[in-house]
Amino acid sequence: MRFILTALIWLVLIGGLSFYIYQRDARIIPRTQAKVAVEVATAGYLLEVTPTFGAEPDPFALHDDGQAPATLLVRLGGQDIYRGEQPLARAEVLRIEQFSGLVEGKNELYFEASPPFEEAHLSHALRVRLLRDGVAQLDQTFWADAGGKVSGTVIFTLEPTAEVGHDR
Amino acid sequence: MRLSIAFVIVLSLMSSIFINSSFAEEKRPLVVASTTQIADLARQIAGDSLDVRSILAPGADPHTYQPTPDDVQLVLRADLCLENGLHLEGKSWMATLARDAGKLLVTTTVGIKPLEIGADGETVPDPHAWFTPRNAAVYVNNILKAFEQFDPPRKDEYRARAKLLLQQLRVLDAWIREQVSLIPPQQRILVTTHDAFNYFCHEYKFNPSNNYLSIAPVGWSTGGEVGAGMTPERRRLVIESIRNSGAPAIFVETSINPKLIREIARDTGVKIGGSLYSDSMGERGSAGETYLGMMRENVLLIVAALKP
Repeated sequence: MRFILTALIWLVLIGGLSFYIYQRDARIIPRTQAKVAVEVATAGYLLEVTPTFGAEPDPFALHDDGQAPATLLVRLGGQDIYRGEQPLARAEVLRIEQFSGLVEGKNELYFEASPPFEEAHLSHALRVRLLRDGVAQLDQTFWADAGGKVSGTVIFTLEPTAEVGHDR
Repeated sequence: MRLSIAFVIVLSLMSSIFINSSFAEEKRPLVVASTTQIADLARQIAGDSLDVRSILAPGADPHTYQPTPDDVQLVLRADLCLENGLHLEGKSWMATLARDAGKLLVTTTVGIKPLEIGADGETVPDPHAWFTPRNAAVYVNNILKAFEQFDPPRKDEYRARAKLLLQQLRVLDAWIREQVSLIPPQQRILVTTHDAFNYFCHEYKFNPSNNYLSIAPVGWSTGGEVGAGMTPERRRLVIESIRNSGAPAIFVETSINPKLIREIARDTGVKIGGSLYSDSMGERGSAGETYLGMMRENVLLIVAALKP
């Protein structure tokens, strides 16, 4: 009887302590609510990408199931909007239209391209422009050190009237 | 008194429940690799999620290795086995271990275009494929694919680690090219006591006179000369071969008799460039205990010995 009583007391003590700690931590961690992003119509928008090198498949690429390594990857807000598998010539301007994912407020574009393996001793660059109705809203160049992939992120803001503010 | 005893018993019971649940969390799936190089690449991808072990210890020769009862027990406990393939594991000892234990075996060189070399009058694929970062990237993708199929819930974390490792390999390759460019082309002659460096020579353009393959001194055999001394005829062949190569330095393995090396260096007039990591990586705590470290240290030695 005493044994059972002792065990019960310990259970109550430890259970009570655990409950208190749980309650305390639940109060400290604030609840957050994600805002719902409002998509912007992308008609009239054009993305131009121009490399200073001939982009080729990267021999150090991660192999996705059934997909060849990409020569150029463009991601908007975490979603791939362009994934090229064909080589891209030096100074060739790649134009990307009819993409989705632009939202009011902050947007993030990520670019990644693979220079030729044999030019690993050279530095390379990628120029990126976002145009709306032919007018450049964004113009940025990303550089890579010798041997590296050319990659970069540009963050820009779209107001509800769709005027672009560029965050550096 | 009875209260105290009861208190101790309850506390012990609760402690043992806590301890058992902790140990249960620490049991991780076991991956057994044949070589230290494969084990290191696998570990970089697995992180702490898998327990990765290597059958071979640092310094062991995969070509002549004979598995031990401990190796059999290790493979019996394994959830996944990795081998190099291309006959690196002499008499397919890893494949035999895995087959006898009924374990899944993944060959990490699948997809690599092997160099063909002559051995005992035959043309065989060179198994030392890991000696270029570009080929190591193939190993990484094969290991990643195996992990993704074996442990799907952790696919994303394996992919993230593999991506980092691949970028490191890319930077390593660029660094090697930059370092090798410090050696004048006419001095890029790599003579080693073990012909494990064909892929390296081919990729970074050493030994053009030998079709960009590594040069091992004629008459040199890693088996017979260790400790026992070299026959006079073999010694003559080795010295002549080194002189004819025009190499400013030769590179050796750690298993070679150092007195013999010094004598040969004196007789040929070349310097000893140092010991390269060849079939195995370095001991724990050494600069060459990882793949990246092994490649880095090898290249530093080569460049230091061959550049003017």
